[in-house]
Amino acid sequence: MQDPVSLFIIGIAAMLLLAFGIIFFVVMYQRRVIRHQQEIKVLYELKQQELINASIQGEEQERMRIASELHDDVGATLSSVRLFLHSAAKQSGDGSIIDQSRELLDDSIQKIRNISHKLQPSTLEYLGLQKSLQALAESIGRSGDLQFRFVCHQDLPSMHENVELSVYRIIQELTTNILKHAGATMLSLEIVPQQDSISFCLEHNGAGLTDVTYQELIYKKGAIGLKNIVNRLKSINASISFVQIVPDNFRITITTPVER
Amino acid sequence: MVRKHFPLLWFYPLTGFAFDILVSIFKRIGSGGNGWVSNLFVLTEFLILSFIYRKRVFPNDRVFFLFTGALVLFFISTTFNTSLVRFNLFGASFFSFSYIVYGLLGFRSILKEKDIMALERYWFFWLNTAVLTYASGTFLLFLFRDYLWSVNEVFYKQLWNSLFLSLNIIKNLLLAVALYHYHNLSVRAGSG
Repeated sequence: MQDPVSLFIIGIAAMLLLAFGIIFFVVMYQRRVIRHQQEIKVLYELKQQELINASIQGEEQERMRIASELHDDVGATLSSVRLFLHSAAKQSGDGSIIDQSRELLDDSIQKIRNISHKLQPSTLEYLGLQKSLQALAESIGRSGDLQFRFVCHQDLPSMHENVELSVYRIIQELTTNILKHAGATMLSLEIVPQQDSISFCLEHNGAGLTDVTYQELIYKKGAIGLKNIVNRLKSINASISFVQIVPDNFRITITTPVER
Repeated sequence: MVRKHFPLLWFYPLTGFAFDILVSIFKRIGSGGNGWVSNLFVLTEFLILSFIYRKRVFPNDRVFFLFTGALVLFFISTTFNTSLVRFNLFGASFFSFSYIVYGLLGFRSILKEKDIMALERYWFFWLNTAVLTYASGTFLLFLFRDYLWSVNEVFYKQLWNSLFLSLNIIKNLLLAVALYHYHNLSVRAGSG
């Protein structure tokens, strides 16, 4: 039989070893759980990103389809009607009503062209983001509602077509919002290329948003345009900030990373 | 939920400190045995720890009061059975065993919590580590005290002075870490 003192020491040592073993197990198990949770989080974020990209892609495809339908089908039909009216005006004596109809038709054809262009900016595909934004600024400036100043300090590096399209759509949405709600008379778009990113700064003198009001709006019901902006920003890893510079001067800055 | 335990968690080391001072005073004035102070301390220690673990270990209040009530009654009855002025080691060993159970169930509750991101910054983990380490070491020390005392008195005294005091110091150091991390809520995923 063993010495009771030795047995006692062995017993205490065993108890302590068991306790340390349990603590070690808890630490290791918890680490494994955290690692697993992080993996799930990464997968979830990837899935979300894929969903956002798929939804944006679907939206763009639908826009393209509507644009080509309007341009190729409705536009072509209206052009044919215009030709028929032209022939009818030659044949009949009093052409005033027909001339009036032709004017209306010309107007409709122009509107359809504009809508088609907005839905599918062909300049973006052929001339790139910089020229497209310039064209957008010019077309808004021509409308006479406000003065639109476009500034680009240097040529933009080429970006992925999804990035270009998303930036274009975001700026398009923001300028539409400024035109609709801000009541601004001056608007400027300044493009500032940096080392690893490009900043697109929109400044206007109307009623604008700050980061706080922007955050409030995107969590409210409605505000579909802003939610689309959020999704597009996420899809290209870009960020946005809304700053009030002086009481009636607001700046919106979109910063998108550039892979060189 | 975390802040609710704040006074209790602080009470634990403060009670220990107060009782240590009391023991040293009684030793200095040489007023006979101070076993009753130790008995009072282990009883208070058990109640404080039970209340700290109440929400995490016990399924409901009825079980909690039944368990703690039964153990307190057991301790008091065994104390009266032996001697009021002698440290009730048998009762204390039962408390140690219940601390081992608290520690194990406490770890189980930690593993069930999904939102702990950094265990080393979680006060409850350190409290569990302190309680489990201390109780695992002292359980047999308390339980076989009388037997070992009769077999080898010198050895037991040495063991008590080295092992028990070491475990007590380790427990208090780990408690200090637990108290340090007490206000650190950033270990949880949602609050960081």
